[in-house]
Amino acid sequence: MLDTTIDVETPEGVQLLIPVAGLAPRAMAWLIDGMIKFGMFIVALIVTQPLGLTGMALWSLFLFALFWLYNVLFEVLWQGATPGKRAMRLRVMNADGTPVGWTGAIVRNLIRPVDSLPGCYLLGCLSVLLSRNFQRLGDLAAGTIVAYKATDPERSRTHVNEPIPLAIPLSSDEQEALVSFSERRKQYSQARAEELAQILEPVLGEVDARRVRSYAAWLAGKGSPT
Amino acid sequence: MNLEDVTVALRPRGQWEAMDLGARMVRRDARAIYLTWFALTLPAFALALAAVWFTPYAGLAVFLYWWIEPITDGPILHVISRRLFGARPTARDALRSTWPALRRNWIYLLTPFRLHLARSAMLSITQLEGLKGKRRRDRAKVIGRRIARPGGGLTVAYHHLAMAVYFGVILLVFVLLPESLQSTMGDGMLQLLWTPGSREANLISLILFYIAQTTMHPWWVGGGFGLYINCRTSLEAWDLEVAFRRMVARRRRGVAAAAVMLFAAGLSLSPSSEAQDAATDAAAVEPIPVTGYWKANEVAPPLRRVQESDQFVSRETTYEYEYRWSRDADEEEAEEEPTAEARDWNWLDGLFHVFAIFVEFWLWIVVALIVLILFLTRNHWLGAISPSGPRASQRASIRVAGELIDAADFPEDYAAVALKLWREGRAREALSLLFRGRLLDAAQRFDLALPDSATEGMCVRAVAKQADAAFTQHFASLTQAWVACAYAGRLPEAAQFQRLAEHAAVAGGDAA
Repeated sequence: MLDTTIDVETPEGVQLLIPVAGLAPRAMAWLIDGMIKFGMFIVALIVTQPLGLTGMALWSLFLFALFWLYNVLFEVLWQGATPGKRAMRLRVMNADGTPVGWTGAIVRNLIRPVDSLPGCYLLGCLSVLLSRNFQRLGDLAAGTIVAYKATDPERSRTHVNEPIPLAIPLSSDEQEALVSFSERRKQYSQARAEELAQILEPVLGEVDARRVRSYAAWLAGKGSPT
Repeated sequence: MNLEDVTVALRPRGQWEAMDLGARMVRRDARAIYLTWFALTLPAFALALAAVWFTPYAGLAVFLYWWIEPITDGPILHVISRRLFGARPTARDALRSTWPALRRNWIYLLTPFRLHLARSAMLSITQLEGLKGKRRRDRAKVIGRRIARPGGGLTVAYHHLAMAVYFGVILLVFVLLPESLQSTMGDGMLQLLWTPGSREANLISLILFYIAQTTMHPWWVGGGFGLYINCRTSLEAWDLEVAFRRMVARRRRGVAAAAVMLFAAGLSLSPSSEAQDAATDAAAVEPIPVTGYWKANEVAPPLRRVQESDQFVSRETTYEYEYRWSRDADEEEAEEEPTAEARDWNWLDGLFHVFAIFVEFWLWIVVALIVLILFLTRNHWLGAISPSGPRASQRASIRVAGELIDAADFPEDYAAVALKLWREGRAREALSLLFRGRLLDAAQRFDLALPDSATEGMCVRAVAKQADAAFTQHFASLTQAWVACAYAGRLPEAAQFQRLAEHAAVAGGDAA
């Protein structure tokens, strides 16, 4: 199965699927960060201008910090996200799903100039397109990934059907599919719902979409236990 | 289309994630896609290059090339959409699909709809659903409501990334230019590029455009397809259909397995012992005789089997890595089937081995050096350890007033030498030699305990403590003469010296 996720198993045996972000969202995040940095650059110039040579020195120091520390500080201290990444709902983390630390953040940002070679991030773009987990060279060196923040899928929590107990045992994946069928009812048509319910007849007997949703309600623990 | 054969993980995704999935699909089939891309674009590109170089219609040629480029979208889409459901289309299949795809999609590919921002996302509607007229328009409205905006975003991102490649390649050329040429050639190139309308500028621009398109275009098509797939997944709950069908299939398999079990159980009830054996083999259950009580020897083996089964025993494998020095041990190790973990660590083992060999090598070098040094200095230590060295070495060297009196190179008949020196007029040397010789004699004959800083007086007292009266008296007068000579510059009478020397010669000879 082709997917855009990294499989991580926690020590407790819980399997996590971390969705990794590809070139387009990362480029957008970079663009937003670039605009923020440019704004800071201009503001710093205006503020330090009246101070003459001292101002120039301060401005240069600020530029240095902006160039080398902006990403590192945000990534380590702000849950793995620069403002641009936050806007795109992205975050940097280690490839095993743990939060990125100082070493990881510093390494991936020290290698940023290499990714930008020969200009316009040519190497970085190619690396993101071709590597397995959308990693640029800095990510590969630091063992980090850029992942989407988990979002709650669109769910309908109203209209709970009358729960009906289910007589046969189902695996957790199967239970999840039934519950999902109920929760996503607004996204597909009624005709499609009946079609999907028909598929389940060999397992559940004579059912319609409504009854399947009742089973789902029972599986989700809605209503009084029977 | 059979959803059960789907080869990507279906689930409702965010729009960006959907584009990423499309990019993944392009990467998976990059070979077929790029073969198709080059087969279709290279001839057109060559024509465009020729037109730019040889005709005055450079602008028109570039425009035409750019306008017909979407023809490649169809075959690329063909490859990834077929692969989605398990087919493995080759570049040849993709090329064959060019014309049918064009006939279906021409409205998105060659009319002003070509400029539709979300083209790569909308393309699938015409090409894959095969709708026409009003139905297509309605469908495009439904789907477009969901994916036109992200599709447009994708296109904007794509154009920026293509531009990044365009300028990136220019900078790459600059970076690779030798420094001496950078000022002349680099400036020339820049001037060319900034002078629109020149033949060279058009040519270079076209080539850069082609490189940028080659790098990014298939990914853009894939991203659009990803959006489309995601839209349909959530509109039609594709992932749920897949899950439901798997559920049914599992149930069928479960029923089939249960039937097999029943059949085996039925056999085990039949009187045929052969069939019973087969059944018990299949179920892997040892029949335990069901009587009122069990004898110990009957119950032990099945009990042990139960105790050793996985439910009762938690096994863990611990690996300890120790360095085995001997080569035999390594070979023994190699014969065992290496486990996955062991294989993972093999490189480390190898590393240690190399390190050990390195250390061993240097240790042997050190050993060789020690042997060599011992051999070269054998004269110094051989006498010291040999049981019967030359006589001279038996005469102990002593140190008096900080000066070493070396027995080894001290003349044997020092009294005669001293007399000879006296006659030559070197009285001081003669007396010194005589005194030192006599002291050496004393050191040899008696066990003198003299510190390094012993003065002449201390020597006399030490000798007096050990030696007999004659020796002591002679040594005392000799020392007195030497001290008078050494510190006061007063020489003894010739006769007195003669007497002292002769006594020393006689006494020394006696001792020897």
